[in-house]
Amino acid sequence: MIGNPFLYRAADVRSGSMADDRNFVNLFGVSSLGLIREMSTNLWNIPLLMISAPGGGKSSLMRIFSPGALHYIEETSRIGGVRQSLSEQMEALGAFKGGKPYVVGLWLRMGSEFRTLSQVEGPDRHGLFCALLNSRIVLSMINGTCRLNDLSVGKDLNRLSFSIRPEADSMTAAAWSKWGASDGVALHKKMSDLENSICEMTDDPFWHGDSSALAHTRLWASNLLANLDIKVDGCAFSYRPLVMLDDANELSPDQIRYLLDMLMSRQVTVSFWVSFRKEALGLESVLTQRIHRAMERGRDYQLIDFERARGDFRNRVLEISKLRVQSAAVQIGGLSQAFIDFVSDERDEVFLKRLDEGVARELRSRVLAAAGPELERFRSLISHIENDCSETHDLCRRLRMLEILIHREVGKAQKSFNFLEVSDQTLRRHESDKAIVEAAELFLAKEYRLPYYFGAQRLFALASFNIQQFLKLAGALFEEIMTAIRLDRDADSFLLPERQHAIVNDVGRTFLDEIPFTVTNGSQVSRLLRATGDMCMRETYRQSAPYAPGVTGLALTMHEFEALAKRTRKGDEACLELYQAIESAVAHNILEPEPNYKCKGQEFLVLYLNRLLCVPFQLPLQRGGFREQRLLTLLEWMRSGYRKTKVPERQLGLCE
Amino acid sequence: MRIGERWEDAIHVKPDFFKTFWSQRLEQKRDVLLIMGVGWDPRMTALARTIKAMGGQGLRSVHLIAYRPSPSFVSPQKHMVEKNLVALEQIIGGWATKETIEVITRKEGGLYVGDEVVAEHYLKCDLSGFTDIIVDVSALPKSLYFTLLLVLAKRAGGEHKDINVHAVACQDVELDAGIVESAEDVRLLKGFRGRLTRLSQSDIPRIWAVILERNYSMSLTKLHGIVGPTDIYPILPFPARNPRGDDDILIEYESIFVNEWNLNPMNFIYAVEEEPLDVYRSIVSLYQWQKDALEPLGDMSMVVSALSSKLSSIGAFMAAFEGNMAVAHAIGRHNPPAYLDLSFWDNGKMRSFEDSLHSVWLTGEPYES
Repeated sequence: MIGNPFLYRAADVRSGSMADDRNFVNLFGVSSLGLIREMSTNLWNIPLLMISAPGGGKSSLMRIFSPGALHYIEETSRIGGVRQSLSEQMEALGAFKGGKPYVVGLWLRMGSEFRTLSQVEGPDRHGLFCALLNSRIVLSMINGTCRLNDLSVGKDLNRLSFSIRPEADSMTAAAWSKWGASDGVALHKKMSDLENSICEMTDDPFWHGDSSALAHTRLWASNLLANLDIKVDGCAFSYRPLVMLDDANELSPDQIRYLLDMLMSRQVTVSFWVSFRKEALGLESVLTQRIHRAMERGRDYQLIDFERARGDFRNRVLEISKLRVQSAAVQIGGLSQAFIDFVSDERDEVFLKRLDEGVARELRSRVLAAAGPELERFRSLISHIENDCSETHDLCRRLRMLEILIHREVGKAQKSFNFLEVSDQTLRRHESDKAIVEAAELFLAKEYRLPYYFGAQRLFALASFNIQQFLKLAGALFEEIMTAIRLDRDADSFLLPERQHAIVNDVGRTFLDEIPFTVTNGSQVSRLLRATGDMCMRETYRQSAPYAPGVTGLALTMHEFEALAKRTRKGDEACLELYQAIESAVAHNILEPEPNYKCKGQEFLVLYLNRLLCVPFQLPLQRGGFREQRLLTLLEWMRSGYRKTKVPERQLGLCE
Repeated sequence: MRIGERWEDAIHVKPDFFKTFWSQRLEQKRDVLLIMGVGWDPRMTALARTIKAMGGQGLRSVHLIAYRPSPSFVSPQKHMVEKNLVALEQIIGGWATKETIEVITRKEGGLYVGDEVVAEHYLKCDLSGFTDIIVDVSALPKSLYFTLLLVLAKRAGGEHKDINVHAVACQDVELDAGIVESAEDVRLLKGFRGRLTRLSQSDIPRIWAVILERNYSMSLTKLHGIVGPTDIYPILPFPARNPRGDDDILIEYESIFVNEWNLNPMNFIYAVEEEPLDVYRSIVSLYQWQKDALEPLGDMSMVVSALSSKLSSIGAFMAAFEGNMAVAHAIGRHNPPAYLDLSFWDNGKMRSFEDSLHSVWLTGEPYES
């Protein structure tokens, strides 16, 4: 069956098989390494924490450093092009040395079995956690060494030998004497037996044994890796160990605290990368980006927040989409390597076709109606525009912008005299305001059912800086492209704006509808989102477009947010519900936070809707205005949804 | 014992014979423990009502598993739950002793522990006074009854060799199809982790058998992430009451099968919709075939997921239990179909539920050797 290359989740395919590692590397965007490159000075010296919403790209960034991936990069670097670039970047980062893999990346996914270990009580409650992690780190080291040396774990372990250096601390040396072995076969067996014993203990309801005999006092494997000599067929194997704990959000809160304490206390002496989904960290940590108390980012740990690392998101997704299209090149006849070639961005064509004389007449009538008894103030502007425009679509756009201006002027609390005309200068200033231009386009799109959500630029914006979200959107669009190619349609008819708009609407609607089922506290999140969306829609489409190009978020003063947090801690149920909804929405990138935003002498927590969620509410995709809301209002929304209130044009807390 | 032999001649009592079977069985003195869940499903009381109507001599005991994610949780379908409880009180009153087993399914940080709690309770529970234990899965989530059945089946195979354990489900395909289960997290169930998570065995092929019904897209995608299968074998219901049901499933999951998984179209397996033993045999056959085929490469590990009706899931349980397979499941809230209202508690509907009961005899007399 022919598959849609955008929907293939490369990082999720189990590592280990050569074909899967190849697929993964072939689809990996080299520019993603830019996130790591930015912190290359301290890359191997201090822990690196990666946080994102689901689908942010954490696992991919770890997996590219796994032995299978590095081995494939080395093998194919001679091809040149992207492969060579990848190899060179690895060399620059220190993951390669002399063109060969130097890092042994131990990519360990934290599964739920670690969490079940957290049910053990008492001061040694982390002993089993350490034991399981120790066994897996050592096993992974053995597997990785084999992989990089083209050895088989099943048959060639006897070609490996291990010895501990005298520099290892006494506890590590003691652990090695009990759990270690110089022979690869024996070491693998000891670690396998340890892992199996712990897994059976956690899994079998009928297990009877002494769990304390399995527990380890600490994570000695990290110090071991820093002091372990490995020989392959008697020759020294030179390496840099890198422990990568993926999906550490699967651990219990207590285990996460223990792990972070350990990392920050510098007990670990090898490079450690840990990835978390934001939902595991708590809202406060995500907003402040302070992952650990009393520890300084930059000095004690590095942090990558994927949703905030926006710098070259566009380049990353362009590269990823090119790679994905390449992988399907045979199916699409090799017509184009660039995905954006298929995605029409002919905005002017849309206006040309759809904004006709009929629309122009209607807009003129609306302009006259808007002016009402103050028509004389605007008559010359109307004439000026009508005389100035030779193209109907241009006339329509300008009339729509004029209508906005008229509503603003007419709606002013302190008005000018009726006989004072609105000047050309005012019109020029108004028309040159990009926000007004965009608001007018949005209003026209809604009123005359023009396609709005189409084109490459809007596609990138709709991704909300999340790779998985981009792939989902691109996948939905690409499905249509593949159908068009199969039907042998003309190249120009690939993904017309109307079809793009319809597809994006479907994806956005589905995204919103699925929230109750896909995120933690989903129904609460959904209530908050729908109320927020309804509010944004109402404020955006006000006739005078006061918050042009539109409202796409809400804001709570930091003071009220802290009050919310405090009342939540005290057990206030209504506040807990709201707090959990915000926390979950932020963790899943459904609301994009901007804390401590300064406006009119106050600081706000601004929460913008995920761009894809702007679609069901027909909102613009620019980071536009937001509306301050009181805490009581948000609590009311959680109870009964958004309710329209009579809002004066000028309102305290108005921010653009 | 080779896999497939344990339940080669298992007994599946179908609806048309259900009442006859149980009335005959209860003619002799039987000490019966009925384990059931407390929930909004209108089928919750069908079995209790039916068994009570059979009469008979002996102890009658009911364990009500009242599960919820936190002590303060209130079901959005509270009115339906209460209706069930009132009906159950009327059934139990004067007929059986009742014990309510509180199961708080989530711990700090949202960790799901429902299966652990149930396992711990039934490991210690004194079962010696019973000849028959009937587990009514109709209002119990799979995340609880898989482990529950495992504990009971093992105890019945060990210290309580004379106990007969039966799994009962009230089959209503349309109602099941309308239930939407959120997939908040995915995990391997207690007692069913197999060797899936063991790094020391990460190289061995993983074969994933997933029994499918509609409305499980989210769960399917998430489960794929934790299983990491080498090969996938979806099991579709056919023959079925809706002869196009399997086609509908293929259409619904087409994007996942084609785009995300690149699934081999030869991998589809079909099992009769209302035959849990057919599901059992299908999985067992698949297991044996894969084991034989992959033997030159070493070992293999099998994972089962039951995104299906509860009746089919009993077959999945049997295969997983016998073959020490892993069971991966998506855990979340069960939301009733939008059309579910109190008319489903009318007498006519209740009678139809009572006429839709299936029973699978898992341990005890038929297996004594």
